[in-house]
Amino acid sequence: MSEQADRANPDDAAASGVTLAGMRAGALMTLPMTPGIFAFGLAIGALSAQRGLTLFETWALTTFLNAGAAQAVAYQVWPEVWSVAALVAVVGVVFTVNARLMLMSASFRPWLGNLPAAQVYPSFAVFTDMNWSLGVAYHARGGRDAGMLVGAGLFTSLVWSLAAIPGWLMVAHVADPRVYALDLMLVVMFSTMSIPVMRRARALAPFVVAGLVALAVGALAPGFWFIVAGALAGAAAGATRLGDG
Amino acid sequence: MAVSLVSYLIRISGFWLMGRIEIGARMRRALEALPGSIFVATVLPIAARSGPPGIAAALAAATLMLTTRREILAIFGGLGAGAAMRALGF
Repeated sequence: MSEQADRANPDDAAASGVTLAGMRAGALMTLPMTPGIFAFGLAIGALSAQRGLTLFETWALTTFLNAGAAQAVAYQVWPEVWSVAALVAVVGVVFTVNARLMLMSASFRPWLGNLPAAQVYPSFAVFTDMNWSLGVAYHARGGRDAGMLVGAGLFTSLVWSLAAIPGWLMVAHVADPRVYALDLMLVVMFSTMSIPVMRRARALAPFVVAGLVALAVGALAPGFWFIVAGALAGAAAGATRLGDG
Repeated sequence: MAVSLVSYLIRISGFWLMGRIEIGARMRRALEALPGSIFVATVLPIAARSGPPGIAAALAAATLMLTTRREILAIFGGLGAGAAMRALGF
């Protein structure tokens, strides 16, 4: 504790360690998001059933992969019969869709950089879009407890994997999740969460660059590389005078 | 299991990489622009690929979040807008 007190500095962006209070704060921050997480978990459970996965496989994959967008896209190339080539394709898709998590975890370096590796790396096991975006908001208003990320991550993972079970069970009743626009959940969620980030941003120009590059790459190249290309372009623009506002 | 492992390695690799690089003023500003850039770069192309329902869903969610600041309203309003456009035959 005294070690943390020595480091305490209100202007410092760096973290205090993972605490139970932080974990509880993270879970509480995630609570209002429960209906959204639940709805998305239902959708992924339904998609899993349509792909012919058993209920146990569905639960295991949602829990351990813990990445809804990647799972949804991976189902597009999910094979009938597994081979080495099929495994490479599925892993490749998961890598592409999740490459954004590499950028997201990198964006937390100023916050978590001073923590011991034994605390940081296990925390990233439950790292998703949800606790990343909540974490950005938490850090922006002065929160420094890394436990917030763990609490939000565990809570999200729990709701998400449990919701997949009724989703799997009800697939007979909702033949087409598109009718309820559940396939647009990622767009809706990210669109929602972009607003608080925009409000706090020093300049909007980098986001315009990110959007234009992503649209161009998305129109020209297949797959989900536009996320990585657009994000890197936006970050690069932020490093130039465009980032000054 | 392989996909889970890859997903975890991706999660930590960005953080690990950044530890090997000195974070200067330029890099710090790039990282500040990163979160918003990821949101925008994800939403715009996927909404465009999804056609009118995707665009309506993204717009409705952003507008509701701007005006009400309530995530739940924005998420369900966005899904509702997408579903309504689909029901109208788009």
